[in-house]
Amino acid sequence: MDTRLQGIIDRVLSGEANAFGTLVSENQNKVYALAMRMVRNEQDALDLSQEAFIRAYRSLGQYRGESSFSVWLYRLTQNICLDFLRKKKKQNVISFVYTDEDSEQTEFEAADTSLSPETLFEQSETRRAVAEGLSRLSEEHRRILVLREIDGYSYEEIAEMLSLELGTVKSRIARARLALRSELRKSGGVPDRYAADERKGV
Amino acid sequence: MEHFEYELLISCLLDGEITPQEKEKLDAHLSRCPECAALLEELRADGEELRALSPEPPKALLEGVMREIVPEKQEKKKAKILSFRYIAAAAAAVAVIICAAAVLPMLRNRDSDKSSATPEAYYMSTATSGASGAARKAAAEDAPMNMAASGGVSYAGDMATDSAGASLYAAMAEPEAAADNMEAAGVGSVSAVTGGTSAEEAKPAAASESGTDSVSSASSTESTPGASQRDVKEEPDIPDTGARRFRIYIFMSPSDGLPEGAERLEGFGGDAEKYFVVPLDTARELESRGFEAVLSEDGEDAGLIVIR
Repeated sequence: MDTRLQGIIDRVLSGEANAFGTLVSENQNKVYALAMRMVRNEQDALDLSQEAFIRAYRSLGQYRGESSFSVWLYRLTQNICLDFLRKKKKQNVISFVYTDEDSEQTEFEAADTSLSPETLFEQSETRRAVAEGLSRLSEEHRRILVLREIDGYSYEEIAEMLSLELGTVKSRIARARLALRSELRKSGGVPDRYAADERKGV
Repeated sequence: MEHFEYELLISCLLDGEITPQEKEKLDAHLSRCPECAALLEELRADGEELRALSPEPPKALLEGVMREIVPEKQEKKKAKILSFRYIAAAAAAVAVIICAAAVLPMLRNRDSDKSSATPEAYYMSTATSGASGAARKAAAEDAPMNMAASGGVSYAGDMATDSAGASLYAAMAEPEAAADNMEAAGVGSVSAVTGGTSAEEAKPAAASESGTDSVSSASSTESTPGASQRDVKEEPDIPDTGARRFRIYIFMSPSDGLPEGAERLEGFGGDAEKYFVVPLDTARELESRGFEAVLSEDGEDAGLIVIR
């Protein structure tokens, strides 16, 4: 854990709750973006993001720096969103039941990484083209590109999240970028800058 | 060098994850390869579009978080009070424990249910009237709705909850002492749920705000604070319409990690999703971390009271 982060955490743990605001400010984009991808609803994403930070605050003492802080937060947020989705799914169906922890994991993992350009982002044409191009990428490429470009995680953090070697992260991101580029060229609904481009897709 | 290696370096450059040596090598290549130079610009532009897809978090996010945590740390004890949403539920939980503890030895000794010996849970059996059963149910059904309105819970009510919350623990160890605490907190009326005493007098402050309303009115009796617990204890003719069992769940958020021996429950509905039944000792340890407690009827058609 770097000393700056350690310093902030120490201050928070010693009772300076305001210091936690720094951690919120620095991580809220990532947390909120993840929540939005998972629950696809602004109000829910806001609530769940807040819950994630509040829970992080309450269990900050247990964060030992084994993983990077933003990865720790990512996992925490992911769990909270999974719980929410699970509950939502069960609503009006079952009111009292014991469930196996991992039984629905796979399904919601998928929900995590899928972007829905139509519902999520009503953006400019170019932006929509990019979002659509992204959605046509392989799961592997889309996921890593989202973590890198949209969320802004570092290579190291992504390596940790996806349990990959750093070298694999590097080359996969590069390939994902190239895949998106060729996807955008193919689609026709691409930004103008590709129209006159005669070069072969890479 | 393979072409992909330059593309890789371009990607690393865009991410700022490139060493000076790599940068040098790439720059040299870019100066004589217009294709790669163009690729760099295209990928850079794509990246900008991608980043623009990132939704902007609303200001309310930070504000909401800080609103929640700042008072919590500054006024440790009070923060917990304020976070309790179900005043009446807290009171009811305490009352039920007390009543159960008080009544059990006298009335339910014959109840030799195996499960009442469940070690990891605070498990009790007690006899209740049909009316009070319905009352609990009503309270349970009201819980989610009360939650929505709980933002407006009065401070007086919150104070009472704190006393009730504190008593909750005392109640587990020392039922009578807790009963005294409860009276002091003005939450004695809930004992009407199980007690069936019927002095129709001063309605305690805590009872007027939320779930207790349904508890009290459904049971159609309200005891005065003074008349409550000990009356229950001496009450010999509690209608015995069958044993109802209760479990007290003290649970914590999953991020806190699951303590040893904890039993995980899911799917209660309402606002709280996860419940961990933990040993009482563990529960006490959790108190410092801001505990949440659930009182639930055991069984298929489970009633539920959540205290958050």
